[in-house]
Amino acid sequence: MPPKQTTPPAPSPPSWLNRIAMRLCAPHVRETVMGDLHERYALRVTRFGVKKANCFYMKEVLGLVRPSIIARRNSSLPSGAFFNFDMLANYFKTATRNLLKNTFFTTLNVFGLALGMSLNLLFVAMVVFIYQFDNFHPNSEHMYRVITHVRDRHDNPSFASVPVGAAQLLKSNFAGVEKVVRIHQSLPRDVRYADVKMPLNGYFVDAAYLSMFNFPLLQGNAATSLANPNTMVITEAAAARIFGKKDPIGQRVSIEPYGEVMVTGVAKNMPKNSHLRTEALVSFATLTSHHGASFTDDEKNWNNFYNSYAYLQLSDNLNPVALEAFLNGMAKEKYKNPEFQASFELQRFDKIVPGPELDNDMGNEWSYQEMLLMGVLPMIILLAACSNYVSLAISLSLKRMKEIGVRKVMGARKRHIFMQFVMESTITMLLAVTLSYFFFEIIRGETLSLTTELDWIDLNPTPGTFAGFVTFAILVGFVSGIVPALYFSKTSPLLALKGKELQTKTGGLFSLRKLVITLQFILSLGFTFAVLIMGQQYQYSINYDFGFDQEKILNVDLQQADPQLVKNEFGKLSFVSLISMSSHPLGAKSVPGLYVRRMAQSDSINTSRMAIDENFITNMGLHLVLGRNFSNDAVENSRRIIINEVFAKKLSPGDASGAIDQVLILPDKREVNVVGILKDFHYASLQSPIGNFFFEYAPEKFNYANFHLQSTNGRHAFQEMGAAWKAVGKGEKFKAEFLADQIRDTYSFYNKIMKLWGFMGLLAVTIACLGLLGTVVFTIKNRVKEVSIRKVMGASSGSLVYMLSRDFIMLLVIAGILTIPGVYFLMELTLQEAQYYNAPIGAFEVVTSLALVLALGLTTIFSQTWKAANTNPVDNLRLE
Amino acid sequence: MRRSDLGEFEEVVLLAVAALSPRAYAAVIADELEKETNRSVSTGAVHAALQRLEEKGYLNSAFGEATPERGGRRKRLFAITAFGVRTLTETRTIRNNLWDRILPEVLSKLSFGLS
Repeated sequence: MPPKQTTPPAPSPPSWLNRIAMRLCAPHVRETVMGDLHERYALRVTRFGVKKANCFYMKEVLGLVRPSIIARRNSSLPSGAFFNFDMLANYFKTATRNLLKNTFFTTLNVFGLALGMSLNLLFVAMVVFIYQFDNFHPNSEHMYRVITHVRDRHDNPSFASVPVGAAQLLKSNFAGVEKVVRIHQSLPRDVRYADVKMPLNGYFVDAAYLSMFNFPLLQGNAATSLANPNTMVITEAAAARIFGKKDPIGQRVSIEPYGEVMVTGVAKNMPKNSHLRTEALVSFATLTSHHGASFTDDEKNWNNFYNSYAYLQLSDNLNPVALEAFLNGMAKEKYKNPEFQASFELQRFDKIVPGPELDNDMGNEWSYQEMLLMGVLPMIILLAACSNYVSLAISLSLKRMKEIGVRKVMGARKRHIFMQFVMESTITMLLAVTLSYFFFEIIRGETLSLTTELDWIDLNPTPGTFAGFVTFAILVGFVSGIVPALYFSKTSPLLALKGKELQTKTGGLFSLRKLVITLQFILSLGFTFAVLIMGQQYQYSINYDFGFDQEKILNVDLQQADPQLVKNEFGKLSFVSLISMSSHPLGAKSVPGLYVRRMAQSDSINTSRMAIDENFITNMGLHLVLGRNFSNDAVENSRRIIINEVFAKKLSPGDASGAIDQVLILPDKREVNVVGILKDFHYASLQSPIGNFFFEYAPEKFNYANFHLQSTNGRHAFQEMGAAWKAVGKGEKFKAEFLADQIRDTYSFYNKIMKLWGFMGLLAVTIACLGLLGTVVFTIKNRVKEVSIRKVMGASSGSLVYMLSRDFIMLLVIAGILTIPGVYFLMELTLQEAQYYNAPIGAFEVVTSLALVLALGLTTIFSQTWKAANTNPVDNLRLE
Repeated sequence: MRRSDLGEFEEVVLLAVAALSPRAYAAVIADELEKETNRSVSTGAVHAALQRLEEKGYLNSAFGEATPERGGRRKRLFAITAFGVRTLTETRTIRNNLWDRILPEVLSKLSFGLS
């Protein structure tokens, strides 16, 4: 052992044990106890060796666990609790003073954060709205919906719907089932009143619906309104729309195929925060009286349960588990086929919205997944804004090292410093959220108009929304305060007082700032680039040569009108030069596909078709390569088709003309002759490639009349056409759209994406520039003396600007180099998926987006560096 | 006599302090006790006892010098107070009196049993 003793670094006990021991000891005994432990350890090392000594040491540490060593002494110092009011007040005071002192940076931060938060406020409002769904029904804690989990060969979907017989079974087998409401979604979407077709949303319900859910009636009796067949309850708004000022009670509307239905009640408009929201409730008895008893009792219903829902209200003492067990016992009997199994679950009423994702839901339901998805983009923007804040806060606080040092010397613990910084960031966030509320008000309407899906959302702020905003701000404040708080609470008071940390060149921190700027410019550049690409795709698509004339073609929705009558009536108008008929607007939507077979061969060919009349090809300016058009003879026409070149190649690979007169068999067993071949054109939208396609002559399939208009004096022409329509329209409204507009609409999703991404890009660019501005200003402030001295020594303004800007320009260049190829490949991939005929991403987009973002970034940098380089050096050096 | 609140372990520690004086601190006391009893004695236990004894007024303490093997930490040196000495003496007197009252034949039996 003696040699060991003489080796200079004496063995010391394991450090982790040491740390535990330090923690265990109360501060007032720590020094002595630790000293004794170490002394004995050293003694034992010489006596038994390191291994045994370590073993003993462990025992010793365990032996410290006794009250007199662990117990902390009560001190008479003020309590160090987190939420000590005096300390909070002090933090608040220091924070506000500090924020006021750096007005420029505070404004920058608040503005940037407010921008970043605006989208998040929408999201928060949305979440608050969703969490208030269906919170106004009495007894909702006893209410359940029966849902179905299906297991079949392919996947295991869960349905919100349930076999129609299930609910009644429960009611007849359990005394505790107080109310059962079946809902059936098979009600047609429109009704006829006084020979006018009106759209009306509604569904079939049991009579108990009105007593179970809190949808009060303004007129009519809740108990009896829906008891009889062919009765309905309608909402105020729908009643006003259909019946005008007339008293709705007792009015009859006709609903195919159920006949006349009488209005027996008027309900208050249903609030938007209900997944049951609708306009009309038709009695379930209507269904059963029309279809007969088999509608509910048929065994087939157990396999086909689209549109059918069941809601239950249970009494206090009935356990839903018992019902589930009963239903699943039932399911074992009903589903014998191992390839289609189903089980049932009682979903709590308050867990429907927001709830798990279910197939075939009631329509106005929001699932957790959808909520999460909505939050992703806003979160990215917020992250950018917060990273700005964090990097600026750290930079600024470096100047406050002395303050932190003094606090520490005066007895502040880590948590006090921590609280100080968190308080500051929370105050900043609360300021930002207040400003952000104005942005929120501005973009709210815009967002709601962006998608029709959001019609059902009410984002008018309620007290709940405001509470949500404030909670959100505090949460964000806390989270983004953590980084600077941890950073500064760790510093030792000695270093802080010496001001060592003021030297900003400390590696890690400096690179954090650089990283933040680079990432933000990557984000901005990415959005800008993507928006430009989308815009280019849109322009490309609507200007694409479809191979036919789309100008001056007006497509009139025939609705119930007779095509021949329309032709006669509108043919009289002078400005309509030619009228043709078609089943679809050409080139605007997708066209139905089907399989046809050649006479001699058994394998079928995948094709698409459209029905047209003999004028269509001329009207659209399509070009016949071979053969002829349809003739005037309708009977003969029905045995003819006209195909495109692609199809012709398929039928006769060598020589296209061989396709003429080939006989094809359609799925309805009709045999048709190929009489003509058309030059290829885009019959459907550009999303899919040109495939096998043919025109057939089928007047019964005509949906649109295509008018070739001469003059485009729109107003006058539309008035005349409206008048002409009156004679043939059977009471329907005149609906017409220019083909060019219809085609344009097909690509309107590009516009929506551009709007959304454009807004995000705007936010990202603004936030990035604000962050850059903050950092540049801060760096220059730190280098004012250096710049002045350089200038005095003879440096030119230009060289100073270059010196100050160099680092930042590098960051922008790095961002550019990383983003452009990345986004390029990403967009290339998605575009190929989204649209078969897409415009290649060209140099224009690359250059424009780079120029745009770089110009903004450089302006930000140069505005500050130029100012710094041109100030009079005397002003800055005078005080030394 | 005032009822003494001296536990057995405390008494031994107190005696050790007196015996090792003026260089009595937890590490050497624990070590000494280990040697005397042939059982391992944890520093924590000795410390606890020393604290209690000091609270009761049998001991007082002062910081001593720091040594390298202690990692530069100071020792806390303990010294027995007059009150401590008196209590120890009282306890010893009680014990002695009781020993003296044991009849010689019982005593010899006891010592046989021991050996």
